Amino acid sequence: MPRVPGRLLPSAVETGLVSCFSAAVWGGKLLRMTRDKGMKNIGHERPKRGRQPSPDWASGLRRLYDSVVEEPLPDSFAELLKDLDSKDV
Amino acid sequence: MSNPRSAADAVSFKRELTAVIPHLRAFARGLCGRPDLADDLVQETLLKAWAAQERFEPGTSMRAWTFVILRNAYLTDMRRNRFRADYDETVAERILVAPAGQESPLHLSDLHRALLTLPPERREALLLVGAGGFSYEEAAEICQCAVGTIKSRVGRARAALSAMIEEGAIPRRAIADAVAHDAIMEELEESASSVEHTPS
Repeated sequence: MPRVPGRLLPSAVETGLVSCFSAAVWGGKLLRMTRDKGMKNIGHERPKRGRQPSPDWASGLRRLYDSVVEEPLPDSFAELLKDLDSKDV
Repeated sequence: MSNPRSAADAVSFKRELTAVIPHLRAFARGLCGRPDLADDLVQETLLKAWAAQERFEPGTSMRAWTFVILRNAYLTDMRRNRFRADYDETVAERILVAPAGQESPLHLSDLHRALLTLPPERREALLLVGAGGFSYEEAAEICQCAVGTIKSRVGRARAALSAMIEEGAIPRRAIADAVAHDAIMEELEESASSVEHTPS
């Protein structure tokens, strides 16, 4: 069964095929490299201008909306609602 | 109708209608920018909704139902050139977008102004999905168009806003008005065919 490098180390450690010392050294290096590479990839692959808006202005849009929702209603609306009952439907 | 609704139905209709007013105001403000005109539009919507209450199916979304009425009223008024996507600087300038700690100093007023430069059909699509929290499917029903159309409008609106924000090319008030007006005129013919429908 072919093994990908990423899977070799943990399984080797688990089965005791690699000494604790070398596992620590290798593991440290490997993990760090993998993590670095992974982070770079994430940075590259995340589209700056993709289908999803950037979080800051997307939440601004909701806040624009919510700020109006949370405003107290002008009195004119209470008057209008009161008048509705006397209107024929 | 020979079988008018019961008094209880009317009461619950009115209660639901009342509850949805803040959302109607938020949607209207996003559409037309000026708070006074937006509130006029909401009042017009409430009267139309009240008159059409027999057509509301209890248990369905009052917010979605009244949004249809509001957008149709808006588009009709727009054709009469009543709105020109004016923008009320005094109200929006007071609100800052970024809470402390966020890196981007984007103001809500900038965002609103950018939003108002979008063609109305893209603006309303983004408002419904991105601000009002409607699903694409619900937004498509409100706008009486296909789900794919809504997705495309939202995508274009987002791309346009992102571009404006990233490039710092958010127009000032006067320009925003002119740009929005041109865009509106371009799209009015396209939207004219769907304007007269009322929710059924």
